[in-house]
Order: sequence, then C-alpha cells, then structure tokens
Amino acid sequence: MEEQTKDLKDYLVALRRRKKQIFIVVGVLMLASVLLAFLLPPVYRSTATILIEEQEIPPELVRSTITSFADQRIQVISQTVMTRANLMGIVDKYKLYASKREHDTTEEILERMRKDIKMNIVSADVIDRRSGMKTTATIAFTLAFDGETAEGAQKVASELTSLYLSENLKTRKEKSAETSTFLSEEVTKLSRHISETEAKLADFKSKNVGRLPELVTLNMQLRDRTDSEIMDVGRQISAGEERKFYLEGQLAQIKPNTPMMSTSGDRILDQDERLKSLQSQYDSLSGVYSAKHPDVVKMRREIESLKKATGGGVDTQEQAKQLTRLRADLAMMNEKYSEDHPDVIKLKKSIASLEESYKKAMAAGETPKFKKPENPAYISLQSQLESVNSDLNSLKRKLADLKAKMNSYETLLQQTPQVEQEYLLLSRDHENSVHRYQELKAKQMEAQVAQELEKDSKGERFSLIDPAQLPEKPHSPNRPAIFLLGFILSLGGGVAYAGVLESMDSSVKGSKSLTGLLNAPLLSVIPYIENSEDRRKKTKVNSLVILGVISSIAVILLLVHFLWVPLDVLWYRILRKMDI
Amino acid sequence: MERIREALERARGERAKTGLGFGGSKGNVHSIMKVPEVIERIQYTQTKSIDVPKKLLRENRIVSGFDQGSYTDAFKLLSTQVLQKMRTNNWNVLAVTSPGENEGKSLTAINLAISIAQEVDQTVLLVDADLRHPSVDKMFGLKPKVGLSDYLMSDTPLEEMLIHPGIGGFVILPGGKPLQNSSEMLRSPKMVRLVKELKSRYPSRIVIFDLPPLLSAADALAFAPFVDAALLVVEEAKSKTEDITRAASLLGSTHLIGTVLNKSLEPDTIIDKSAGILKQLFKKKGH
Repeated sequence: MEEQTKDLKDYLVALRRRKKQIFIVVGVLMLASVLLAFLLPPVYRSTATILIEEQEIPPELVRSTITSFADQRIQVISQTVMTRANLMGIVDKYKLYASKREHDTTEEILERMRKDIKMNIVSADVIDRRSGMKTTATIAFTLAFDGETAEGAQKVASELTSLYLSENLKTRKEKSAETSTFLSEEVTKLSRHISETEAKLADFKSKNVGRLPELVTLNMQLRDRTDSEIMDVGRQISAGEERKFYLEGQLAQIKPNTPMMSTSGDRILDQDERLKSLQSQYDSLSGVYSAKHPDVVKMRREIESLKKATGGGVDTQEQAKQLTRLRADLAMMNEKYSEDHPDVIKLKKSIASLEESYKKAMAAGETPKFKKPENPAYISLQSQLESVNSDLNSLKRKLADLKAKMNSYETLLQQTPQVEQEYLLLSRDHENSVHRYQELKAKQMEAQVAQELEKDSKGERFSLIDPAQLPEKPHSPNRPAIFLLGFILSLGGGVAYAGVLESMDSSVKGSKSLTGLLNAPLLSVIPYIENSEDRRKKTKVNSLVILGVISSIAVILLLVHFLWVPLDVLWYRILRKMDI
Repeated sequence: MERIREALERARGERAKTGLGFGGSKGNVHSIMKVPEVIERIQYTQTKSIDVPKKLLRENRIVSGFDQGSYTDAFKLLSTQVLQKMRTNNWNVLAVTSPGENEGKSLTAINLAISIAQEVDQTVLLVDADLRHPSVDKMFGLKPKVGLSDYLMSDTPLEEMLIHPGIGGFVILPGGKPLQNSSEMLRSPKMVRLVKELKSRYPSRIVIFDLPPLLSAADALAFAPFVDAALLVVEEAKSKTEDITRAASLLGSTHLIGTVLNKSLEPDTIIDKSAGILKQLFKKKGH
C-alpha cells in the first residue's frame, strides 16, 4: 500500500515537474488537430449501383459464348475503362484536380484518379444449381467517385458508369462475334481439308481399283466362284473326253461305207476291201510265182488300178497287221519244219516282200486316202464325235480363261494388304475430318445464336439500378472524429513526451532514488521555497500565456475573416459541418 | 515527518525543563554552562553585528530562523541529525558541498547554520570557502570589505572579518574577493592553521564550510581532508545519479555525513493548499 501510493506520488511529481513541456506539446498538437479538422478539404462521394442481370432466355436453351465469371469480367472492364486516355479525357472534361495539374505529373494525377474511383463488388451466398455447392455469386457492383465538389463527383461517377455499361456491351458483342467468326473460319478451313482428302481418296481409289480392302470379300467370292467354275469345266472336259473315246471306238467299228449287196445277196466288196483282198492274194501269189507270172502281173495291174481308184496307196496299217500275222505263222512253221521247207521259204519270201512294201509305204509316208463315208450310222457317229470335239475345244478355252481370271484375283488379293495401310490412313483422316466438321458446324450454329442473343442484349447484362446521386454532404473528412481523436492524441502525446523526457533523464527523482544510491543516509528533503520574485515571474508568465492565446486566436480569426471567409459565414458553415 | 517534529518539540521542552543536553546526557553539561558567555562575547565585543531585515532574508529563502512551515521543519530535521552525528563522533567541522553548481549548496549551508544556531547551547560559524564565487554575503545583503581571501592573501585579522547577522549564535566569515588560485589557497598552511584555530577556539561551536562544487573545481577535493565530515547537497531532477556517486567517491576518506535532497517536489514537502489536501489523502491511505 505504501509502495503504491508512493508510486502514484512519483508520477504526480513527475507531471508537476514536466507540466511546462506537457502544456506546450498538448497545445501544439491540439492546434494542429483543430487546424487539420477544419482545413482538410471536403470530399464528396457519389455512388452508382449496377446490377448484374442474368440472361433472359434460359441458358439451357441458348448458351452464351461468354463464360467467364461476372466479377472477373468487371475487373477486365475496369482495366479497359481506367486507361490513360479515358481517365485523362474525364480529367480534362470536368477540369478535375485543377490545383494539382499545375505542378504534378500526369502519372501522379492518374494515380490519384484511380485512387478516387472506388469499385466495390456486391456478392451473395448462393447454392450452385448444378453442383449443389455453396458459392458466392456476384450480383451487383457499386461505382463511386470521390470528388472535390458534389457536382463534379456526381458527373464523373455517372460518366464512369456509362463507360462501364457501354464497355460491357461492346466487349460482349465483340466476344460473341469473335467466337462465331472463329468457328466459321474453322469450319471453312475444315471443309477445305475435307475436299482435299476426298480428292486424294478418289485418286487413290482410281489408282488401286480392285485392290482396295473393301473389295477383298468380293474378290474372294469371285475367286471361289471361278474356282468352282474351273472344277465344273474340268468335269465337263473329262466327261467330253470319255464320250469322245466312246464315240471313236464306235466309229472304228463301223465302216464308213455301207456294204453293197449283189442281187444274189452276196456282199459286193468295195474297192478298198477288194484292194485288200487282192493285195493279200498278191502277196501269197508273189510267194508262189515269179513277178513275171501272168497272174501276178494281172493282179498287180488290178491293184494299181484299185489304188488309183481309192486314191491311196497301200494301207500301211493293213500291211503291218499282215506282217505280224505272217511272222507269227513263220515262227509256228519254224517249230514244225526245217528252214529248207518250201513253205517256210515261201513264207519268208512273202514276209520279205511285205516288209519291203511296208518300208516303201512308210518311206513314202502315204496316208490312207480319205474317202467320203456314206454309212449313215458312221456319219452320225462322226458328227457326234465332231460336236464332242468342238465342245471339248470350247471348254478348254473356257478353262484357260477361268484360270487367267483366277490368277488375276489371286494377285489382287495378295496386293490388298499393301494398299490397305495407305487407304486406311486416307479414309481415317477423311472420316475424322468429317466428324469434326459436323461438330464444328453445330457449334458454329450455337455461336451464331449466341451472337444474336448478345446483339439483342438478351444475354447477361449490366443494368443501372441506382444512378449516381448528387451527394448532399461530404463523405469525408469526419471532422468531429478528427477533432476528438486529435484532442485525445494531443493529451496522450503530451504525457508521452513527458514520459520520454523523464525516462531519458538520469537525474535523481525523489528521495527514494537517492536513498539507496550512497552509503550515506538521506538526512532531509528540502522543498523549493518560492520568494516574491518567483511568484511575480509566475504570474507574469501566466498572464503572458493568456494574452498570447487570446491574441493569437484574435489574429487567426482576423486572418480568416479577411483572407478566407467572413466569420459569420464561417460560423454557419462550421455549424453545418458539425452536423454530420 | 510529523512525528519527528513532535519528537523535536518534546526534546526541546524536556531540555528547557531539565537543563540537560540532547538525550539528557550529562557529558555536555560543562559546555552548556559556558554557552551564554560565549554568545555574549561574540555578539557584543569582537564581532560586527548587523541587523538584516527579515524581508530580505525571506526573499533570499533564508527562513529557517523565523518562519514556520515544512521548509523550516526540513532544516530542523537536518540540523538535528547533523548535530547528533557531530556530537556522537566529537566532530565540529562540517563541509557543505554538491556535485554540480547552482544546486543550492550555499543556501543549504546558511539555513543549516541558522537552524543549528537556533539551539540554545550552540554557536555556529559559517565560512564561505567558495573563493571563486563567494555568495554568502550577498544572500544577507552584506557588502563586507574583507573576507577569507584577504585573510589568506594579506593576513587580515580574523576578528575584523566576522559578521553577526543578528540571528542567535550565528557568525559569518565572508569569502571576500574572488580568487583564481582558490584550490591552492584552500590547501595552504595558513588555511590549515585557520581551520585548526577555528576548530579549537570554542568547544561548543560548529564550523560549517561552504565549499565549491565537487565536480566543477578541485577546491572541495583539496580542502576535504581538513574537515571532519561533509554534507552532500543534491538537487532533485538536476543532479545526475552518476555525478552523485562520482562526487561521493571523490570525497574519499572524508566522512560523508549524509545527503540532502534540495528543491524537492515530493508531496510531503509541498506547501500548496491543494497539494496539502492531496498529502492528507495520501497519509490516510498510507496508514
């Protein structure tokens, strides 16, 4: 308790000691704050509120091509509005910052202007319809301007508002137009590409007819069919051959000429048969007789005439047969008889003559002389054989054709894989292009609709719900607040100043600090005693201070009255200012 | 403080009744018996006696002799303690000095001297040893022709220089003309001789030397060995703590009897009415 009261005492003593400094500091600070409170220029703020309206047509029906968030768009518009040219235009138009323009740079004025423009975004908590999440949506924004005069603030604020609105419209239109133009360009580009690929594809197809992979099945079918056809034809050919052999066999058995019958019923030998029998008779006779024998000669003449009649020489075939028969007879006789047996010699002679004639005939290459057949059976067989032969010939030709065809299909099928790769590449490119073209086309349509939407201002738009009003009172400074704050601060400043002085001063303060300092005791504490001179000095200082305050107030008032504004006017103005 | 004052009053009353010294000690009876004749002698035979108007004294803040109040009480407290210590140690030469200049050392010396001189059995000689700026004579409005400097320089007899300003057994030895080589003078054999003589001439006399500041000149330092004890005057909110400790250490072997805090603004010492009320409040709270 003792200590506490002593502490408080110490502070009171310190205050007493420093009261002069405190009074000076408090006075100066208070004067400064009063001057600040009354001399700060008034700032008028005019505010406009702009609502961000959603598009009228439901977005499910027509989707706008502008998808950025509203606040982001507002910031972008702010940047475009607050360009140097725009702001300087406004500054020039409304003669803003007249006093500053004399000595400040353009940059500083622009900086000030940007500070004076206050843009505030109004958001609301909403629930996103699609995701169901809580988000904040920008529903409006306010645009304010702090001006030196009420009229100026209002004008600039409304000018800025209209700039924002028109800039928004312009950017939206431009953006949607840009989107649709871009899409159209893309579509054109793509269609050009498609026609190119089509031309390429057609060219490729014409170059590789029949080898295209899409024809593989057809080719295979054709090949299979040809294959079966070949087999079929082969079968036909073999059947024809069979028939041919059969017919030939038949034909060989039938004489081309029908045997003539004599009236007696005997068969009249035809010239060939007669020639044959004569020849055989001749052969046997020539064995018995010499060649000059009249019978032999006679027979020879007859043979020769017959030969002429039949047109052919000796029938070599017939001769060969006879020769074989004779040789067999000879072999048989050799078993029975010795070589000197007349029969054997006779047989040997006839074989020799036959061989000779056979050789001659063979050497002459004589062909049996064709004789027109007259046997109807023979003729029919012959004609049948001929038709079979011609059938066979045509079938064989067909087979050859089919085989050639088969070969061509095979080669086509072999070449297909090589072609396939390139073909697939081309066709895929084409398909993709077509697909993309369709997509883009749809998008382009949508974009065009969206552009129409923006053109008619049916999309999301800014609407001015609260135009910039003429401010009735200055927005700042808050003079009573400054005054009050200045009062408190000046008191605090004075005390703080005293505190700093005290703490920096290392001199002894009070008996307490001296007591512990030395070994020697503190014997007495002697107060300061005022004599009449001190008192006189004090009163003099006091009266001087009072006089000074009064005279300085008077001087300030006079200066204000004559240099700034008459006092009565100022009084009413102060009353008005205080009435905030 | 109040209790001390009460104690003082009580002691004074007791002494008047019993005729004994402080604390009723009988050892001082002899000196007490001698006092009246000594005073008579100084007052009326050898020393010039000058009546100084109280108004002038009050203007110069020399009030401990006649005005009541906390100021006088403070000096009473000081003088009582000083006297007690001096007597206990059998000292009679005291130097009053301070760390710096203008800290009220001369005024304290004068008021202390007067306060001691108020004692019935005590005479006091105040020597203005601040030979650079002698000021004691000015405080009393005196313009003495000769002083200590004249004694040191030209052997002026001591009796011519002493002045009695008309307050109890209080005698002044003025400084005289200012001297430049004051520290050498203070250390001179003549000065030593003077101190010895003053010390031994009257048994119940206290000799107080008003010395120059300790830190501004070598005078006090030079003279310190010749005194019994020293009193350090400190001005509140002016003397720096480091100066005080340095001054105390400079005194060295000389016994420091104590310190005095001068020009204090402490509530206990405020004379103002408003402050008085505050003081009362604090007192009640404190006890």
